Amino acid sequence: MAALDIHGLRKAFGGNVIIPDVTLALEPGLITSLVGPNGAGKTTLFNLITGFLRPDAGSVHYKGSDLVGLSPQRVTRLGIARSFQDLRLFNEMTVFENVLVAQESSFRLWTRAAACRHTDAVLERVGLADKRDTRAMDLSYAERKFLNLARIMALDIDLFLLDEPASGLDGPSRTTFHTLLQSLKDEGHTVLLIEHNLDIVREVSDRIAFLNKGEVMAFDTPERIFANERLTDLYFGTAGRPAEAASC
Amino acid sequence: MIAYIANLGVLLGIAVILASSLNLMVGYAGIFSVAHAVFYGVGAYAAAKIALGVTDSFLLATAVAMFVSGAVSFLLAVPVLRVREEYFVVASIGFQVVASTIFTSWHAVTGGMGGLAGIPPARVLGWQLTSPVEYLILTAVCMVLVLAFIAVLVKSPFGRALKAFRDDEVAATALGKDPLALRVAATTISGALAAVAGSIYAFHVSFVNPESFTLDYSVMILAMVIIGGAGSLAGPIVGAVFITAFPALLNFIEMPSRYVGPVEQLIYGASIVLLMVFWPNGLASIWRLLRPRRPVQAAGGGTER
Amino acid sequence: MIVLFQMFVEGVAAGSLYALAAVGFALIYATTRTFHFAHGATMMLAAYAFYQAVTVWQWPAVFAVALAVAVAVAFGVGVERLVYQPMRRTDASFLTIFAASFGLLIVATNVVVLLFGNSFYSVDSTLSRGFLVGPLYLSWVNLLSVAVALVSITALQWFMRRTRTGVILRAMMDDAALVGVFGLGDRRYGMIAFAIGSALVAPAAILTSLNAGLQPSMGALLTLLAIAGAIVGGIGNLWGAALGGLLLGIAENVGVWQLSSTWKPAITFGVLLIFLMFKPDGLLGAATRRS
Ligand SMILES: Nc1ncnc2c1ncn2[C@@H]1O[C@H](COP(=O)(O)OP(=O)(O)OP(=O)(O)O)[C@@H](O)[C@H]1O
Ligand SMILES: [Mg+2]
Repeated sequence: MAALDIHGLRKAFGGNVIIPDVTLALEPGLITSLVGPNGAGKTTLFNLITGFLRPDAGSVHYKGSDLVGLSPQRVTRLGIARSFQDLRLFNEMTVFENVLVAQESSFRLWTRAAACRHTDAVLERVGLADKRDTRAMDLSYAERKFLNLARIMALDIDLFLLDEPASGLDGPSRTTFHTLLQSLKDEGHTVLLIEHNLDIVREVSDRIAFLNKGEVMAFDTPERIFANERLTDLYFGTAGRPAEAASC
Repeated sequence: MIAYIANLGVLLGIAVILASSLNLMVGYAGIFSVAHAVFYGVGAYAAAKIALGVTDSFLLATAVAMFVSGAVSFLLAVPVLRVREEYFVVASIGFQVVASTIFTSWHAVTGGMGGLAGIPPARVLGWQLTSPVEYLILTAVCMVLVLAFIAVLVKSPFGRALKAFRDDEVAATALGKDPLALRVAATTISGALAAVAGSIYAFHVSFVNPESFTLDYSVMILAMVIIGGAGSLAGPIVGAVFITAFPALLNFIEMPSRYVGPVEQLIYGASIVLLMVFWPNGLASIWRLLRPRRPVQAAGGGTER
Repeated sequence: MIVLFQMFVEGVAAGSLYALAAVGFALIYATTRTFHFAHGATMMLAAYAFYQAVTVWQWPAVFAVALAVAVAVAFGVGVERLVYQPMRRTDASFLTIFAASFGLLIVATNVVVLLFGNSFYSVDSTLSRGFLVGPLYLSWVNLLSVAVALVSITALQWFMRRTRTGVILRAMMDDAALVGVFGLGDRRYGMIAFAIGSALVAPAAILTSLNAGLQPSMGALLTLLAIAGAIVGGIGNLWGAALGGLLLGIAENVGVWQLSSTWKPAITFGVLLIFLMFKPDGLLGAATRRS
């Protein structure tokens, strides 16, 4: 059974059809990358899955139930968590509190000590243990991105929807990110990753979904996608300018 | 003289309880309410009813008052908190106006304009309170309990979730927090705590009428929170002291008595404006300047907002 | 039945004035996103200026009216320039701006109390006299209220549609960021919005003082009515606000048919609460629910 089964999803903003018809099934335990030019509707698709937007038509099946019409907090509690392209950290709170507050909304009952231990373990994993008591707003860019990941890793989650978690990361932090993603996969989690940098996509993905103008143009293994010239043309444009240069 | 100071102390304690409980909504849950005097009033009327009709036990009357006031704020919160914050402000004013009218017009329960008189002195665990000093002690104990409760609450998972909402509502929702449930809980707790102040007031002055629970008083409680600084424990205390002590200070200035009220109001209106423009975090944030600052970390590139 | 109709007529007259206040509030709110709680203070100051000019200084009516408008505009533009703009520049939160605005209302009210005292004043005028039309009792003030509201709101509509400034203000109502994009900056247009919004309450101030007299608490009351009207009408929609104000005027006057008049404010806010609960988008407004 698919980890997430998106069928016939459609969304228009005031007559502007952003997502005409998306059908996509994520295979459990795999990392699927969602690539596509700026404005292709990737973030919008995340919003539709997680209940921040309500689709005009279609269904999103997860563990046998339809997510359409559920509130964001219900979707999260069912086991799907998303990160935000613009991070949205709790800036006034410390790194530790950012993760702890996430952890506290999982349904498991924690003793205070166990909650702290678990939170510290998550911080250790993302390499933020030494920033434990720093306020989120005082972190460096890369640290903020990792805190963003740590927050949703602290939830009890099966399916991770990550919106450009690696954009802007330099070499070493990219390696850390890669290891982290791999460890999520090893634990049996399913990941849907939005990423512009094709090197990263090639390194980490088991599957690639290519989204253009709100339509899935291709859904296949990395080898097959990268062999397809029509798609690479579409993505890089005729001028051959990588989309990453234009993204923010 | 002792009686005067003790009475002032009781009023101050009541103000601190009211401002601190309102701060749960304004400072932590981000709900701007101009109806706190209603919950204070509901608490006072409920305690008065119990004292007049059932028992003079302060604890029992306060428990009932907290329950009734909490229930009223819950019933208000559930439908109204669905709307945006701007509208909640107005809804709360509307609620205050309607409640004031009910206080004055529902004779059977509230005694109308005349109010409820002849409330017996409070009895706490078999001990009959009579002197102002005894009431001051009772008030101080209640105040400390309420403040301790709030302090524990804001450090609890519940308080953390509220702070997360204050920082970023969308992100908190994405982490599985239910915004409505949190806000309703904060409003209900806030209303119940305000009733503690109401109960003390009813027993202390032994009579309640609508004039103590007006829109003006709601504004004053809100002013305490804002002037002191919303969202910190110290803020509402500083604000309550400032606004309660102010009239006492004005007594030292020679001026015709008819000017005293407006001058007082003028000064606290102007303080609010000036503070909001130049010092939006409130008076209590001044002492933070005196504390050694945390070392500022390198902010690092690309902030994305 | 006649009584009811009489109350309806008075409701329309009162509602016309509320409509002016509500439209002014809605214009300011929609263009600058400022929850201008001191809007009623503008009205109160204009009313006292008019009273002072007509009754104490014995100025001719035209000059007194001009003074009232000038005071209203000066106060509105002044607070925008000196209080709201500096706050907006530091990205003050909604709550901070609201609190400052609330403070302004308290300051203005108490300045008036210090200058004029708390007592009730009335302005004598032949306009407040009434006459009978069939069984209905009408007064010139009531007729004038309706006429002034109609003319002002129509003029505003024309202005918003036909002039360049109006079009920019409408663009700001849709998206304040847009104006920055065009390189206009919202400083000047913010002040224009405040000037127009404040000028609109001047007629309400004058007619109220002729009809019902003056009291310092009139400012707070009118603020509440203006905001309630804007919300009932649907915030962000000027004509909705006018309709909302009118509706509240009618509701509170007809509502006291069987109740004592102490219930007037409770009726207004009862209507408001019902709208917030069951139709929070108002009569003509955009979505107001939390996301
Ligand atoms: N709430 C909204 N209202 C109107 N239009 C919207 C809304 N959200 C997104 N859009 C539009 O939908 C289109 C797709 O946006 P989306 O953010 O999903 O793109 P994306 O693929 O995530 O792009 P990027 O790579 O830049 O993040 C854009 O043209 C955007 O302007
Ligand atoms: Mg995106």
